[in-house]
Amino acid sequence: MRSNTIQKQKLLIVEGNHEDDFFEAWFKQLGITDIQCMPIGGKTKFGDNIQALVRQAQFRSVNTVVVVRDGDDNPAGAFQSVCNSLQSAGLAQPTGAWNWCTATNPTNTSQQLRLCALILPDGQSHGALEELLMQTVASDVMFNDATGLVTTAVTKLSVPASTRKPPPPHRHGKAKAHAFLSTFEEPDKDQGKAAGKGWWDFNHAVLAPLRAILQAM
Amino acid sequence: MITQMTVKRFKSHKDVALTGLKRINLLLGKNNAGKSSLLEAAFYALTPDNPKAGFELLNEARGILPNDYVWISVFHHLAVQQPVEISLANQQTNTTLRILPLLGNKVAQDVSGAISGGLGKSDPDGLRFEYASGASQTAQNITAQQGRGERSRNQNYIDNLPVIFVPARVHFDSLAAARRFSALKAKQRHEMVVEALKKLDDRLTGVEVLATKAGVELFGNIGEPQMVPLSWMGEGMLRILSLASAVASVQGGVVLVDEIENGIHYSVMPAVWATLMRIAEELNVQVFAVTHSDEMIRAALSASASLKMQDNLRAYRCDLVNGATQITDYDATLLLTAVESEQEVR
Repeated sequence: MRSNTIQKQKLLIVEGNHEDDFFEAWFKQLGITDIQCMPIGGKTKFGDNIQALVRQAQFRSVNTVVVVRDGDDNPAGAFQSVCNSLQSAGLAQPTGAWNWCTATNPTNTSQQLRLCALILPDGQSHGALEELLMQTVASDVMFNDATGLVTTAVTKLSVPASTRKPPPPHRHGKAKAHAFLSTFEEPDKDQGKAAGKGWWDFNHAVLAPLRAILQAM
Repeated sequence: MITQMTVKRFKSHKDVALTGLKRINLLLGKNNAGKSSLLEAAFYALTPDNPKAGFELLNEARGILPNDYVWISVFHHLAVQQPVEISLANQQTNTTLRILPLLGNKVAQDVSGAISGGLGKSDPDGLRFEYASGASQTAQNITAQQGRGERSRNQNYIDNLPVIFVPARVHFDSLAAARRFSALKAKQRHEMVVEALKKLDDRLTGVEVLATKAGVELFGNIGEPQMVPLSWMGEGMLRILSLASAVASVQGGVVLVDEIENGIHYSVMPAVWATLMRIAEELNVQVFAVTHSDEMIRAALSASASLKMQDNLRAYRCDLVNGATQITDYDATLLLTAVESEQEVR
């Protein structure tokens, strides 16, 4: 696992290494060097992890925390879960997903701390980051084939006689992204490594709200 | 078992409290953050019967020379006008130690104006240790003459202290080690120590105290034609001997260890911890250990999990923030979370 020692004042908390790779590639494309991506946001241990984060000695100099979490099949629940974890760590909670809030850093009263919880894809819809990413490649020659494969799988595997289940609706974006990325010369890349390869279009309009948050950090 | 320690105006600590203390307590933090000073504070508070001997013993163990400045070194910002206050609480009692400066064998208040606040001609030439525990109160003066030159230590007293300080550097006294091992053998606890030593060298089948021309010394049986002195077997062996002997020797007492990782290979750290924790639990010993080592922290977590002693482990990090000590504490669950997610706790 990668070192998660706080080294910068702005922290982007993501779920795992794939998201870490993705945002690091995007930061590079945007020329952002003052944000530290920290892959400690896995759903199951996020509450404990955020408490450990706040206990790091370097947290007292942190001025911005953005938490990125997939909404999956319950975006409202995901947001509430993030808020509960922030609260248990003594941090302020934003009033809604994608909204900023500002409060005093609990470990340093002279430091203001801005927080935001990004529930993907847009705070309200079911799904994940991949729903957005697939929209950035809608004009690619393999887009229809990749999405068509998932559509076909859902149709074929949803019949009662099927011995296995298709991906649930909130995971269709991930399934399509996997199918799409398997069509490249290096077919084993995840969405994070694909970002490093430049296979997603970071300049696409669908990513504008997310880009705006990153640039406002 | 001590559940809380507060330290006021002692060395780098203006006002610090460690709450929720457990059987095993790790002290973490950068250099000069005051970790070892907390060990010192606990040591002084635990030696009310003979603070003079404790003062000498600790300064010697820490390599602090008995020069003219040793007296003012205990005061926060060298401000001798403000007495040190150290309190230890357990479920039953609260013991408080106040350390005051002496000048010409009188406390500061009696020679108002004569005591300087820093290095100068009117520096104190001694310390007064005042202990209060419930209704009981005692006090002893340690003066320059006693603190230097003549040695006031009584070996019987040292052997029977309720607290042992294991310094960061191996300062091996073979006679003292043999004496301590013999005492353990008399109480039939020596196998605890041998078990710990076996973690480092599995050839070891036994340890004996043997008389030699130079005195008595500890020898180990490692399958050679004759037993060999443990002192031949490397610093790691001596370190573990010191640690295990200390914990096994102070039933119901306290062991204070500075830089516990020193001399110990990472691969045996979990086994060493497991042995120390087992002895500590069995003999009701409380351990405070300073460490800078990520591996030692992981080893403590691993050992506590294997012994189902997670509830008996806690860590405290000292940070010096704007000149004041800040304590951040971790229970075992949070410590494990931090370590597993590669977050810095030291």
